[in-house]
Amino acid sequence: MSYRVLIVDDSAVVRHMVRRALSISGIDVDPVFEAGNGREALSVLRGNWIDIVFVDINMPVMSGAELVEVMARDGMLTATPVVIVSSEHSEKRVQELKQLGARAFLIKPFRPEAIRQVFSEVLHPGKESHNA
Amino acid sequence: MPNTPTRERLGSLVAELLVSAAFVFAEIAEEKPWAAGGLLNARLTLTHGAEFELALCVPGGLAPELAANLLALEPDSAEAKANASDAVGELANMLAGILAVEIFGRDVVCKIGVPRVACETAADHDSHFGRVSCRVSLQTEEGYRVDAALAGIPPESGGAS
Repeated sequence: MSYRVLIVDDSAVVRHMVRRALSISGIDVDPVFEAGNGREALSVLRGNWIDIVFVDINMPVMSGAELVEVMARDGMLTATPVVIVSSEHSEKRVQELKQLGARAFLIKPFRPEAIRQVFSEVLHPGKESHNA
Repeated sequence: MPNTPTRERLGSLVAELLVSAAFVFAEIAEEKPWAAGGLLNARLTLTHGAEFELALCVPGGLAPELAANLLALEPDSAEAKANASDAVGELANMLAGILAVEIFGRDVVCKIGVPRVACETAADHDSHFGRVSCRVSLQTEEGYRVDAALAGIPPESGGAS
């Protein structure tokens, strides 16, 4: 089974990093959509089924936090899991974004094993990742 | 109160980041002359009451290698060269996230600005770098110089230019 993934970041390098990490981790993802900010992401989300969204926090036009808020209020998107991909380490920030609806965090830089672990925890909660 | 890191601590954090994110080994070193060629300098602000500007400066020759290692590409590839500037900005962004906790603590939300990456001459960089008290130079295994600087921004200045 292939997972349909959306990567949201204003940095092409980070979008590429997440895409490569997914590929290296052996997770079957297809297609992988990309968006440069929250508004572009909403457009993708409203036109396509997405299994999981990887989102940066600081982006122009619409931030990751704003995107998470909008998705939480939208009945069609509220169940779509969101993973925050950020360089921010603040515990307070993590708690704020979890309250808004984010399901997990990946702190940059991260290894492919970390993305595999998060993928497993978010999409298959309760199951251990044998490769983590 | 903000806790500005020492030169050694800043250098240690930069070295850890370079090896963990980009597989580049570097150590704190004296400020030696730059090799020929331009520099790429990424700047961004960290704000939580007090405001700081973080700068991460690397030689133009090292930047494609950083991009290649971040993205698992060949260093000589066109894609690595095309992403060189963005890669330096992203490393500065990662460093800012680490420094935000170092400066302001883990229990506050610090606003981290968007990285701005510019080409600079060695002379332009050195004239600014030399005036920053919290600064450090590192040298990579391949002999490249990498600089990091953290400068407090006075409130009346209205932020970084």
